[in-house]
Amino acid sequence: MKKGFFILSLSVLSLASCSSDDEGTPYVPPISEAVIEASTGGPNQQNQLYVDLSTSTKTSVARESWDLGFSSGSAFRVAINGSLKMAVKQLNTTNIDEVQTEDASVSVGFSTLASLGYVDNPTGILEGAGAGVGTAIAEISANDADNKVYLVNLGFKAGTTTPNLGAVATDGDPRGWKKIRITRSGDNYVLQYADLGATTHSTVTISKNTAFHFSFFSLVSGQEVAAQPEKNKWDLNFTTFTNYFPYMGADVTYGYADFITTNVKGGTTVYELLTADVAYDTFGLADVIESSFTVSATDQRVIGANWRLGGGPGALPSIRDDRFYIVKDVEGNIYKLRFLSLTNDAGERGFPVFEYEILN
Amino acid sequence: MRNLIPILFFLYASSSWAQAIDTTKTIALADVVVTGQFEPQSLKKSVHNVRVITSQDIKNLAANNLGDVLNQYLNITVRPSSSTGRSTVSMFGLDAQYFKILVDNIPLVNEAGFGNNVDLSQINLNDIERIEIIEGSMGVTHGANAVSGILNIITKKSNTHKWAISTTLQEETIGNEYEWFDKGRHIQNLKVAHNISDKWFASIGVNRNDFQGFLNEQKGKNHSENDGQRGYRWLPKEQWNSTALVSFRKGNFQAFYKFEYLDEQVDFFNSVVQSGFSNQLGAYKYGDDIRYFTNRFYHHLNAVGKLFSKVNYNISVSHQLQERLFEEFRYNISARNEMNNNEFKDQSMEVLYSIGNFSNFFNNDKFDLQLGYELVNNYGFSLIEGENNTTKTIRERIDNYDIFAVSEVKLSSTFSLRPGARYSFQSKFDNQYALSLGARQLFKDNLEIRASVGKSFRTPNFEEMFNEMIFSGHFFVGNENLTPEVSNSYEASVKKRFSFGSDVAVSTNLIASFMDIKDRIDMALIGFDETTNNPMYQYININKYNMWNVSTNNQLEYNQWRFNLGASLVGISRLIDDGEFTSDDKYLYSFNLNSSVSYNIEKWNTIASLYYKFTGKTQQFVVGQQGYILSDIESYNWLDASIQKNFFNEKLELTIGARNLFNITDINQTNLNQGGGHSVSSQILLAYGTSYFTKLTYNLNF
Repeated sequence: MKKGFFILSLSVLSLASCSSDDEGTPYVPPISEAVIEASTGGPNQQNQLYVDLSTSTKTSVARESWDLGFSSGSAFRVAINGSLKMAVKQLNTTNIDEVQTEDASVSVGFSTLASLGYVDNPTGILEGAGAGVGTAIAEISANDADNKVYLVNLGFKAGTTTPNLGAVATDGDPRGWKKIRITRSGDNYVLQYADLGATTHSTVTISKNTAFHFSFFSLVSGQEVAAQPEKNKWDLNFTTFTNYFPYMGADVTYGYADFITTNVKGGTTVYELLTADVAYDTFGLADVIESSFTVSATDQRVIGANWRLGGGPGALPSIRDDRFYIVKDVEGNIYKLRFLSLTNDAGERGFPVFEYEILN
Repeated sequence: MRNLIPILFFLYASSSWAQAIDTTKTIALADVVVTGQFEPQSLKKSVHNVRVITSQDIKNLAANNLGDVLNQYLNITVRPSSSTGRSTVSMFGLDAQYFKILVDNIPLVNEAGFGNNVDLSQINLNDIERIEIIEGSMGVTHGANAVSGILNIITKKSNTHKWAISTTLQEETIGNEYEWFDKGRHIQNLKVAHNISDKWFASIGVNRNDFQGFLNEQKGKNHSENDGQRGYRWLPKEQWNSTALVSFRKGNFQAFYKFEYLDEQVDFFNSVVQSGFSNQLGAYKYGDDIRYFTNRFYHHLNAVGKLFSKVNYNISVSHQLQERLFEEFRYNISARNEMNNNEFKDQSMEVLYSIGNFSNFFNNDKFDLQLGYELVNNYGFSLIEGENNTTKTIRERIDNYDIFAVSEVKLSSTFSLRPGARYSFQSKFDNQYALSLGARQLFKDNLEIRASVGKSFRTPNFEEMFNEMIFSGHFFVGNENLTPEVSNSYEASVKKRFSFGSDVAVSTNLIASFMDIKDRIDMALIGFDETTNNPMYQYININKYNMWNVSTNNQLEYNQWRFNLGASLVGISRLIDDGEFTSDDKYLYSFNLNSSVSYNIEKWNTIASLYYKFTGKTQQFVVGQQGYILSDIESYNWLDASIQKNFFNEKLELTIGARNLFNITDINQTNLNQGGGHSVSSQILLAYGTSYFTKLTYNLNF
């Protein structure tokens, strides 16, 4: 039965890709049901996987391919790549050519309080006053003197070791450090960047591309890169993730594997239901409660890590089979969605599978 | 003096014979003990305080493993594990790594230790003469890891009949769970002993112990919802134990060879129900399950005799191997089949061992010297945690070659001094030494006073040396530069016996002891990572432990009644420094009490007995958010009862009874979830509720 759904969804997918060659944009009905194998590349989880529910399209991006995302929204905001455990700290200078040194406290981990403001707020909301709210890099000001130099910890490469079966090895070697300074030039961003010890720097102008949420840039390659589907062509993102975590009475920063975010800026919304309250099989459109979507309008983490039990010493993570999700995609289609697997048949992590069905 | 050995052998043989015929008369007062002695000798003459658990105690408890017996021992608690099925000893708040278990005077191997860290459930009580326990640091006579105490199991090596065949069936409920095959505990055994000639004796035995696990609130292996209720509270376990013994004696010379083979399987069913999907299988539910296989091979060759018609020697050579393998597999709950089966060797320990004692060098009643050696070749194998969620393989050879000397100086017919020393040449650690001094004074009116001082050490285990748990902000590692922990213990005791007429005998003793351990190994914060700033923890020699204990033990024998009452007050002080916080080192006290009563109804050939133990509330410091806080472990009562009856002139022996009549399962510990990211259960697994048993033994002697 499930196999049938899967083949069906594959065939619809191939139809959809054929039709995209046609002139204009003919109406393609949304996928009614599908099973998606949302691989993030295995136990190193080296990829970020974007899924568009209405077309059941998957787009995979290497986590290491980008470092900074320059928002195409009206505000001048710059995000960092939390999937690599990047962290930044504002320095008290505007001179990019000043020599800087590494600062081990600028990192992701239990000892880094969220309130230090070294990482982007995990809700996905870019605006905020700093200190853990909004992006870690303050809004780029029209007044150049306000745009300070930032010390950038580039986090970790994706892991390359093979961990014990069922575990993850997401962190590889450290990616090193950079210093950056970002200013405005009209409606564009100007990025200055260099190694910490350098007394000269590179400069690049990055323009906003409104078809996407961000223009992505790699400090390693010095290139703009494509790292996300167009802003209305994805709903879910499977990725490693820098989250906040309550620890010893305060929020600290912590890296998660198997994390799922929703396209909060594109309008995807979601809420969670427990099977103890309502059954998945009989759930229909009439059962949808609009107000339940509200939380996810300002937080991309409603699915987050809640779809699985985290495991712990001696226990591997597992799917929470007592819950499912109601997702309203960027086009307004409403689906019920539940997770089927966290690993492949061999037991390797990084191969989540979920199924979903449109509600009519 | 010349004919000492045959006389002692007679004592050996007669004590088991005596117990088989008349159980009530052999009160511990006249027991012969061997542990820590030059030669087997009476308990009264022993300089050490030796506690004896008799074979009758074991019979009354219908004990099928050492854990059942030690549950009744005053200063010991038995700690079972729900994840591995192992049961280990905890004495004075120190775990099984500090306690050494010997069989016939030589340490018993297990997959992760030699003598220490023994799984009590793997020790078969089928063929046991008695158990001797000495509390305190016994490093001189028993080497490394004899810190909190030693336990020596003396097995039977003779029989008075030409042929003795015995077979036993034992059925037990596990809590209220019992079925003929799929629930409860089912034990069968067979023993055959034969005196081939007046010189040769042989015996063989086989024992099967089939424990079907304890479900309690759990729902077994086919439960398919991920609500934590899959699997068992106690893991099912099946053990086969085979033994063979050949002994020879002629004149002053006696020797035996003993072989044992243990085969154990433990089934672990993961409480987590996983969800799986593939194109081939569709969506399905499964458990990541494990089967553990343990094998133990035990060879022991012992010879006792005289050199030059003068010097007594007692030499043992032993080869022991225990290995644990595990088979991991995905149990497809939906299809009820297994997939991805993979077998690994988990841990193993192979030991080549020899110990020799030489005594009686001088023609002098006042002074005796025992010289000894102990050679230990340990070859260990272990899979332990490596960096980034990997497993690494450790193969290590750890050897030690020890020499020791103990002298017994009889300053008068009533006063003995017993100084001793051991030097240990260690291949992996700094050389170690141990010292001891004992004194015993006998007074008139059966009053005995003893005092002793002992020193011992505990060597670090593989995990403490080689662990590497490094991932995602976690950094917990071992340390190859650890030094052994060093302990000192002091004990003083008074013992008095009274007799009122011919049928009332009373024995009472009072013991005070103190023990300290320095350089205790614990995980502590050692600094912060330079690139990530994450805290780093490592095993280091950092902490201190002090314990004092006052205990009393009283026995009363009146006609066919035997009564025992013991009590102990233990104060433990620990200084725990984890690099961030330091605990208060104030003394935390606990009180324990045990009592047993048995009555022999002679004309019915029936013995009724009750064994009771109260384990008082214990406290310990656990780390919280702002430092160490007190955590309480609640008190509990333990009561065992049985009736044993012999039929048809001892041919048939029936025991019925109940274990754990207070129906204890888990006990609570407070304040466990104060820090850290993972929640911890505040319930401590202790037992599986009241279990009822019946045991039937058929003896055929001719």
